[in-house]
Amino acid sequence: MKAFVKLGLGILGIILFIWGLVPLCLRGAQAKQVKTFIEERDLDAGALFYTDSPEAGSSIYFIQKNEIATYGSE
Amino acid sequence: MAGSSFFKHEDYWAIWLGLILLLFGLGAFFLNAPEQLEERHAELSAQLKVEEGKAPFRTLEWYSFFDQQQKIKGSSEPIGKVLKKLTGKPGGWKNNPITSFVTTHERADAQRAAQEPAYQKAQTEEEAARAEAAQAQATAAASQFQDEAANQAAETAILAWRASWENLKAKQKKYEAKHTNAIPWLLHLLVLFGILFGIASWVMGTPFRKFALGFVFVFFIGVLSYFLAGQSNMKAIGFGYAAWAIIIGLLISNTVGTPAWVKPALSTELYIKTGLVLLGAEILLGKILAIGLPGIFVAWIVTPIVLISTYWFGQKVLKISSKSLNITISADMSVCGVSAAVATAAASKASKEELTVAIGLSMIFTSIMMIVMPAVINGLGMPEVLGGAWIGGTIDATGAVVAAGAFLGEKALSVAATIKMIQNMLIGLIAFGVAVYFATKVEKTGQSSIGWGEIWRRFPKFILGFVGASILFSLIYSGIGPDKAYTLIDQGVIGGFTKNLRGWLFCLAFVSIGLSINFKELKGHFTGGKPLILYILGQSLNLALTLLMAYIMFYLVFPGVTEQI
Repeated sequence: MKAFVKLGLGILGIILFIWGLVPLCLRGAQAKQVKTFIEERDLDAGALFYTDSPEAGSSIYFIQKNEIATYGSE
Repeated sequence: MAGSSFFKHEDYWAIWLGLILLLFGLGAFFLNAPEQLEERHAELSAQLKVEEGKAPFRTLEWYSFFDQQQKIKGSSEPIGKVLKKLTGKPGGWKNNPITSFVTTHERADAQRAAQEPAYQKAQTEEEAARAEAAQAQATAAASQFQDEAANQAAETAILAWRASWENLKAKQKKYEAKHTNAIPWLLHLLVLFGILFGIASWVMGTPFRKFALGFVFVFFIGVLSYFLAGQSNMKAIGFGYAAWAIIIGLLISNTVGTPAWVKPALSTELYIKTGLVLLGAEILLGKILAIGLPGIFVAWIVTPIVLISTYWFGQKVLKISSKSLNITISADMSVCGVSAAVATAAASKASKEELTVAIGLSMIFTSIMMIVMPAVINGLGMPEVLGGAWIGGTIDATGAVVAAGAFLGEKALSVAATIKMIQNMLIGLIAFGVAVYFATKVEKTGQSSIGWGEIWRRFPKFILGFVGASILFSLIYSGIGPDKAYTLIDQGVIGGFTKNLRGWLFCLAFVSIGLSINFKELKGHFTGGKPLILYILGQSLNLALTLLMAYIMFYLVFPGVTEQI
């Protein structure tokens, strides 16, 4: 019984974290701006590796196509 | 004896399973390549070259050809679409959790209606910006691109159009809501993984039925982890599936306890090592050489310095008793967060608790740095390229690097993503080096010298699969050229198949970790706050050295590159 109460409290903690603590921390002007920016562009800030992020892939392909970093300016 | 260990050890199974999945992916995408792939790439590349020669800046037409080339993807072919859906994860959501799995026709229609005004507004803005850019480009062309001021005005107008085009693309993605149902695909993936890992576990001694039963539970928690990571607040702070998988697992194991019937499926090592073999294919060595001289200096000089000094500091000053914990935190903080922590932990045979500590620290500081760094960079009035390089070299996870870089601007995003990718590539080398160091030095336990046989016995064999996959894919990548490789590897085998599988395998491994560790043991690793001190001091050194090196490389040694970005 005690274990299930602890589990329930844990689940409550998760709910409070997602809809309570994080939105509270994101109320600052800078954090709000970053959040809105991420939401608008539908970015996944949790991507682990460069291949997990389509935006990273696109930027890297852009650099590659421009041969910018290899040759530099002439 | 040797034969039996060959089939009884998860290192070998990780190599075989990883190889099977990679070869299947190669076959599926290379045998079903988009029609006239080479001709289309050749034609578009030639048109890009013509445009490059036309003006001293990237013209509107250049971007048009570039976008056309970017759309040639292996994952857009029928087989690619099926594999992408099969390996997909629950989608993002804001207030209605059901939308993470199912979007009904009615809901899709409602979403289209709700997004229509924003989409139309973005369309109008993009059209206006494009017209303005076309006008500015025509003015510059009238002087044969000899008028410096007209060229500058055209470039600025084109970049402004590009920003509004990016905005339109984001709005279009939301506007084009479709009916989806991820549940049947998740069930297919459950069966696929259940069969593959069930067979491996059966050969290693766990009855198939017992594994399969427990695996359903592990997979369900994995789905739940992806689902929570997809919530918009969590996406915004970069609190990903890795953290949720561990948290939910810990919550269950330390309250009601992990059910006994689940335990046969807690094959942490097998999931992690197979995931790492798949990750090896994403480390494409040729790609680094093709894209980033200044980035190579920033990422490859600073990273090893920070890694080694942090490890030394942990051992000599903080006197952290566990060398594997010390190296895992050092790699996690100096290289690329969770993925580096996983690779180094497996190479140094760190405990599950140690890996959890490293991942926890990385997740917390990544979220903070992602929000604070753009503010500091803007506050200091730092140039975009320098800011991007600083972000790319210091923030742990790629997703957070992209978000923080994009927030500063397109140039910062390109530089940050490139540097992060070059840093990502280091994990193969570091995992291999750590495995050799731990097999030859750390595990010596008083012996003055050890033979090759003993070193081989201690060496984590899956590393060979990890490095082998990297070499194989790097050779294929270089062999077929960057454009074809973009279509068939970046946006094919890897982008449409193996990176998703790798994500799932890491997720299942983190679930298994959470379900099998005791909170008290975990707490013990934080005693005295040594891991936290190590992370903070190491990251401070990383911040200072990366900024210095980025300035030297992008502004003193390669200023031409910076001008071109």
